[in-house]
Amino acid sequence: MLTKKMLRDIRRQAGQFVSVFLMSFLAVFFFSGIAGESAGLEKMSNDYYVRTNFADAWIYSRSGFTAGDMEAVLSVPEIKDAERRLSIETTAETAGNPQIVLYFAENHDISRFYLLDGRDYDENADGIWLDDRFAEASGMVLGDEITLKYNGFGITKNIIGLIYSPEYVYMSGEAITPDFALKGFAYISNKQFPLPEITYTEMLIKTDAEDFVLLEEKVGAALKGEYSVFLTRDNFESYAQLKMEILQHKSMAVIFPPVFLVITLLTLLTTMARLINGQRTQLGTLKALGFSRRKITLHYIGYGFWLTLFGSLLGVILGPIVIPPLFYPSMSAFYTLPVWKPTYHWAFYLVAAGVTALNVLISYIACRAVLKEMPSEALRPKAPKAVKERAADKKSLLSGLGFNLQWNVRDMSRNKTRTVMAVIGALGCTALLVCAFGMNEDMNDLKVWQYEEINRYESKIMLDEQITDNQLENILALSNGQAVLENAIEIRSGKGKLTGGITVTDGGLLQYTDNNRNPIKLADGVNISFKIAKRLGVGIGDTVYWHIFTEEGWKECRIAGIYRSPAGQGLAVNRAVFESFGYEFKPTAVISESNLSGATAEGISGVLLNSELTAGWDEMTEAMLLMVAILIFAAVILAAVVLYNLGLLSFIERGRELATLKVIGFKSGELTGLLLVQNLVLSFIGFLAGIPCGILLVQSMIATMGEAFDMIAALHFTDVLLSFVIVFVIAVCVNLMFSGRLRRLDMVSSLKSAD
Amino acid sequence: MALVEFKNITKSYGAGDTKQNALDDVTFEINNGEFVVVLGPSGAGKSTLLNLLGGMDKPCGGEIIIDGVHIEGFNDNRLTQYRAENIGFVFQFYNLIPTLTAYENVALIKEISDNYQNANEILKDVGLDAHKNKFPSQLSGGEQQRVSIARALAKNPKLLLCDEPTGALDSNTGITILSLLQDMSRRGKAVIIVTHNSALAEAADKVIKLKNGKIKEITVNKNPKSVSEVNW
Repeated sequence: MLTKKMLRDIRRQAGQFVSVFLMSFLAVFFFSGIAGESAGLEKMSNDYYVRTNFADAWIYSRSGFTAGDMEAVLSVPEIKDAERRLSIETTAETAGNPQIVLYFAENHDISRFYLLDGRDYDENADGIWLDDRFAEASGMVLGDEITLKYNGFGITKNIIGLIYSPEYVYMSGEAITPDFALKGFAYISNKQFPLPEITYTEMLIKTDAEDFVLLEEKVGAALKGEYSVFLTRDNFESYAQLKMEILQHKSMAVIFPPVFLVITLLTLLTTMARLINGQRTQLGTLKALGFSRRKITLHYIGYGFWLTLFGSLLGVILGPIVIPPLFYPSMSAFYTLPVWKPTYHWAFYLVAAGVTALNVLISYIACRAVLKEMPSEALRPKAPKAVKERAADKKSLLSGLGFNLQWNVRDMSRNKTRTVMAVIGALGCTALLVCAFGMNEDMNDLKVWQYEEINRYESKIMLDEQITDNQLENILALSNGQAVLENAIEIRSGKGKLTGGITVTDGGLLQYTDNNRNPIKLADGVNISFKIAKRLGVGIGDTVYWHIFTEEGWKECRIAGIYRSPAGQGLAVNRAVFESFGYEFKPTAVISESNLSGATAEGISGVLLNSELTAGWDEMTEAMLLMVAILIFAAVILAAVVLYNLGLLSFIERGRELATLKVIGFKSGELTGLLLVQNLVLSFIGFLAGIPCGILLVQSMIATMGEAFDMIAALHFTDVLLSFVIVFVIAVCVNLMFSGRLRRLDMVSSLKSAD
Repeated sequence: MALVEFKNITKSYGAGDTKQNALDDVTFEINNGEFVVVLGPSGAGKSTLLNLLGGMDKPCGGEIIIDGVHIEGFNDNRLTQYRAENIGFVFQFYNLIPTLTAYENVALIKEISDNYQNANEILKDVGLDAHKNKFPSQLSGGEQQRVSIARALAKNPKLLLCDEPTGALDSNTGITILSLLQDMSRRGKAVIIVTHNSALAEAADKVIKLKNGKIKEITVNKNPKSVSEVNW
């Protein structure tokens, strides 16, 4: 019977209970959806890594590792397994001269490729296993012939397998978006190596060590220091990039639920408080009849419990089904995983249970007060709350404000929960909007900063690794350009070791900027990027050590200047400084102000236009923009639900009051105005408080962008204005919905009896 | 032994200067099958007396013995159990659950009482068979009060406590309700009615008159009239 009563009560206040249901659904839906996507990525990638026996660390040496070196490394107790490998950068003889990294693995045991089609790895097979995404992008199929050129050498093989590799989950390229037609990888059995002697330049390691600094020391000692780079997974770009991406999505998942949860709780609290106040006599009757306190409590808790239980369960189920597929198209443009599938995680059920539990607690709080009373008291109408004379009432100031404001000031101070709720609703909405617009704006800023303010060139000509001086001269003349060397480096200070890049060039086509994005000239010496300097805890005049990835031996230098760059962190020096460290200046690219699209000459491996780089950036930010869209959507729902619920609540609570005012002779329009003023004032307070919260959100989102990016979180006036407009449009719209009700408000029946 | 023994009961509200005695040293007895009317002007302590009897409130002093059991020291849980098992309430404003039908309001008792009587039969008894699927708002006041009585009877209580049961009804309807209650006492239930309508005294087996929280007079009617014979 009580269940029937509950169902009928819920139907009577359907609007509010539906919003309780909806909010708890949305809280869990967004959380489990986004978390399901990131957990799915995490699980799929981890499974992939385990399945392919993905290496834990990579050691590189230019001169190669001997069998003795391998023995020495294997003798380090923490090393579980090791394997040697040779990789060479070849050029495929097809349109666009794509670069193919060709691998010869000694055993093909660590970081095995993942076979999609064709035959599995077999060291006696004579053929090539080719990167499936490259094959797909360049229209190659199983059985086709491909010729790879290296140093004038040519290797022609039939494609016997199409593969993915755990080392190429993310493929870095010149442009931010990988162009699968221009870059790829391939495997050939080491038995098929064209020369009698094979020099393995890489060593892959499996280890159970936790402390990689210590491990590097031990391995370094075993190799007597004869290696150039020791990379751990976290420094391995493909791995690190995906990890960062997952982290970013995870942090998004954490932003949503609290916002919705707070709203759910507030909505439920006011709804239940109202329900229980209205049912005071019923509650007293149940007590008088002999229903135990436990039974009555369970009954009233049931309202919120079932609704939030169903809401959050539905959210848990639907979230991971609906949301992740929205991300997969843009994610798979960047990342290559054999399986894209969201995962359910026990934490989702925990969150759903938590949401439900919190709602139960709120319901309990709402009915506890009445339950404590003796039934004889509960049966009497509630004594009106003693209203203290407030300081505000006395002030003549208030009486000068006119009826509208006076009424509103008193109404707000007497309905604090409702007031606070309205402010929080507008606050949450503003925070989400400011965050969404801010993210969008900052992404754009970064684009302008990098591709317009720093990159002052139109074309970037990528050079062959084996380019001759003559060819370079020719290209420089043809393009009227500026030679640039870009290379990966390791850099360390007392505080730690990082990987980054070095850019070496003379000339003005790269316009460096200072901390505040103002153009500067590089200092004559070693310049370090702002973010790296911060992470290493160094400043101008401090000493750092660095070396180019492929070269052994650390170089010591003093920092002469600091520049700030939004994408790509590391060092920037001029040619003379670079050469003073004993390195040879071998340009990797030529940048030019002219549009050299499609230019061909000996030594050119490809031409990238600045506009293509910009387009790549846009593509990369697509996933982020989707988040932004979801944020805006969430913000609008949030504000609309809270304000509507609130409007409904105050309308019901103040029905008699409003009817009285109408009887006295107030016009409906004036009453609408009365309520509108309050809504607008509260929304405005929430709006003001929401701005700093939004900025905090933006900053926390930017922090997850990854170590390569350095963004300045800026708040633009237009964003604030737009958020303002949205918040107020919602507030006014909700108010308009009630103005119709006000007009229809039946004076006679609202004032009939008080019981 | 009497069904109800009230011994030297006091009950006061508030504290210090604002302390008010609602009941002061009240003693009486009620037997099975008695039709008892408690009379007195507003503020005499009638409702307080009924609340104490019904276990809806606790006395400040004295003893309440129901069927041999002291209930004055019961905690909230035991009082609840006591109400669930022994007491049928009939309120002035019926206090039906508006979202439950007449039948459901009575059947509600099933959830708390082991002595639950079939709601259909009781509703037939009080003459509401035809309206049992209506919601309270679709019933007249007198019909609602019958539902309330049916609900009180559904747990087969030892005591039927009625607080101004006809206060919100017109006189004809009131008479039928009171007849119904008197009928219940003839069938062996102790019925206690609180009212300020002294005419009802003629129909009572026992009349307890209260004034300013004290017993003014207790009279036992050897030959009570039937409610319908009373001169209203």
